Amino acid sequence: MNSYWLKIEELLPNLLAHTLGLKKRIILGYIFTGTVAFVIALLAWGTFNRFSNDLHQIVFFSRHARENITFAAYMAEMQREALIYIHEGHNSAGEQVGVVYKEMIGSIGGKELPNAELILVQARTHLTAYYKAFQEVQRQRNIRERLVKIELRVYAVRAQQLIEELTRQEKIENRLECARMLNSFLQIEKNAYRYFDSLDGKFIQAASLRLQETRFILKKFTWSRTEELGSVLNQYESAFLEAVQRTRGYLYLVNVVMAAEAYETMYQAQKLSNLMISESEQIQGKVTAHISSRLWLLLLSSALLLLCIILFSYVITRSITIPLKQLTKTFKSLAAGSSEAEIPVYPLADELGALTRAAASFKAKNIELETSKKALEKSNDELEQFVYTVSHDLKSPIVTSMGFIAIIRKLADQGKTEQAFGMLDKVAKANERMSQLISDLLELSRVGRIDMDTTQLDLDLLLADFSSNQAERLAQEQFSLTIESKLPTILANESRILQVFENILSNALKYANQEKNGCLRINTYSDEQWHHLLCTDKGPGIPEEFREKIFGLFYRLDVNIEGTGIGLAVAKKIMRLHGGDIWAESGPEAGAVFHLIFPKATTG
Amino acid sequence: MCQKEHNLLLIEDSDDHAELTEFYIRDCCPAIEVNRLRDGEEAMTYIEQTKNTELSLPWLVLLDLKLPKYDGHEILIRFKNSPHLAKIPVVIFSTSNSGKDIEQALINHANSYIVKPMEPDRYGEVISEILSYWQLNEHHFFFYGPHQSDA
Repeated sequence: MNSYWLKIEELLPNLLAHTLGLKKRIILGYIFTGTVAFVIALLAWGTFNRFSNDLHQIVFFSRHARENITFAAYMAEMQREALIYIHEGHNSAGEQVGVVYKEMIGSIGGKELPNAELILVQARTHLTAYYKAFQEVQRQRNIRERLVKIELRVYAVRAQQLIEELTRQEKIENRLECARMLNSFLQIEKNAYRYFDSLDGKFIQAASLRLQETRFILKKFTWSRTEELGSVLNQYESAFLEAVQRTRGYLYLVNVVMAAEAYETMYQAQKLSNLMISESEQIQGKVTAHISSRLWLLLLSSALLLLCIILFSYVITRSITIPLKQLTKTFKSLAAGSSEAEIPVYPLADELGALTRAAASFKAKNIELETSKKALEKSNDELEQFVYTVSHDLKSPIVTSMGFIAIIRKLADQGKTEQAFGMLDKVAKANERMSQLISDLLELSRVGRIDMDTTQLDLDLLLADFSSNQAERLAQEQFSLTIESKLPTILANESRILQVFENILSNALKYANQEKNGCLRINTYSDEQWHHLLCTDKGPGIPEEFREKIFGLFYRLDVNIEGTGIGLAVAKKIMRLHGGDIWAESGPEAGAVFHLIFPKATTG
Repeated sequence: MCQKEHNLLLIEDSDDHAELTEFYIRDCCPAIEVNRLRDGEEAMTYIEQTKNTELSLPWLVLLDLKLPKYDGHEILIRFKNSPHLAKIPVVIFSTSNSGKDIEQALINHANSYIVKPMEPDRYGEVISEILSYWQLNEHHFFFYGPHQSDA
């Protein structure tokens, strides 16, 4: 898990570092942070916008709730005004009802509610019905008013006049009856007015009774205008009855229809306001839930986005610091002179890329430096070895000659001249050897120092020539040289290569032909890189521990065999100069094998 | 100059140098018997032989450094690692005066390092000085071992 995280932690910044330049990465970081901040602001805006919408709704509902309360108050006011009008007959009260009605119709609210439509329609219907009923009441009342105040009075006055006229014309004895009739009639009027005042039904009955009584009395008279009086009475009665009817009608309207409508309207208003309350409660609940959920969402998303910013900036920072750290490490080790410092992979051409390239060229310089240092060290070592060997080997004949000179002197002093002369030969040999060593050294130093002109050498031809040139010497030594055909062609210096084969041959003659009939066989094979030449003899072979030493300067395996020990050193130097090498191996049988390799590339 | 009979081991590839050395040894100490080995391989064989046979061990070894096959340093190491031979003084006698050779020889427990002189009369003097110096070193311990030293 941990390692997985580590991988991701390394992988992401590396991926980023390998795809986007430094500047772009920094700009990307800023853009990302800005975008995230903008998104947070947007979320906050959305939340508060929503919140303010909800608040609007709450305010709206509370306003409507208030209006509904006002509505109830209006209703009460209207009813009060209506009752005042009905009982007192004030026209201003009646007009007031109309004003209140218009006000109410206009102010019924709650259209926004989904379930309010039906209630509203009903409330409006009932209110309208109430008002219509009220208008009907007004009409009825006006009619009654007319009946009571005008017609009834007209008929009453006419009846009274007729009765009084009758009284005047009748005889005295009938005058009592007349007074009773007038009285009865007045009773009718009284009861009628009482009824209109109190609206008590018993006055109607009383009035009817009085009317019958009046008619009954009237029948007792035979007067020319009795009929007229009767019809006046009838008219009076019918006007009274109509007025009663009208009164009853509007009472019915007032007490039943209007009350019912008012109740219905109030009921619907109540329903509406209940609905509103419940709706507003619901909305409040919703708003509260919304606000908390929105706030949570805002908080959560803000936290998430902040986390994103932190992660992203971490990744960006790492994408800068990881390559920088690697480069720092690299430069430290480069500054310490290392040529093996690891150059981090950085494919982009930004500032870090430039640094990486600088590190790479630094490394190349270090490698160059190290290579030349190694070459210098090697050549120093070789020089030291050379100087050492030369000083040691050149001193040796001097020591010999000086030593013998001293002996010769000593012998001469003792008078042993014969013996002294014999010693002179030793001195001469030592000096000869000295001169041989010097010429050998010159030869060795010439290899490589003198320009080597290389040509395409066909080894088949070269060695065939070599073999024929050496034929006489080989015959003398009774030594056979076998050269396989199909040798490769190499790019090399002819005389130097000949020198190598001469040295190998003369070594074979010295070491592998002590009992004569020795042989040297040269064969070849190739691999991908090299041409191999094997020079095999059937001599005693070379023990493994000396196979490297024999290529050293003036190294000889056997002091009894003539030579200075320069041949193989020269051969090695020549082979190295050609980009190849030479070493000794043990042969398939007893003998020694000199193994030469030439690089294939030089064959072209 | 010296009378005692001693056995000296000379490891020297050059016949001329061997002849010079033997001449001067005879000149100053005729009683010393010189046993010469001609190259590194002969020296190694000699060292191997001393392990098994009851050869009389040399009194002093004169060892050249530049030898065919095994060189003087290898022989010195082998010599000083042999329990029979380690106590025998080994004098390196070589033409080399290189610091490397001297240091290596001393590290490998050479008892002395003498450069072969190039002046005509010095060769004899050096040989005689070597011999006289090591003749001072006449302890029973060296020749018969610790058990017989008290006897």
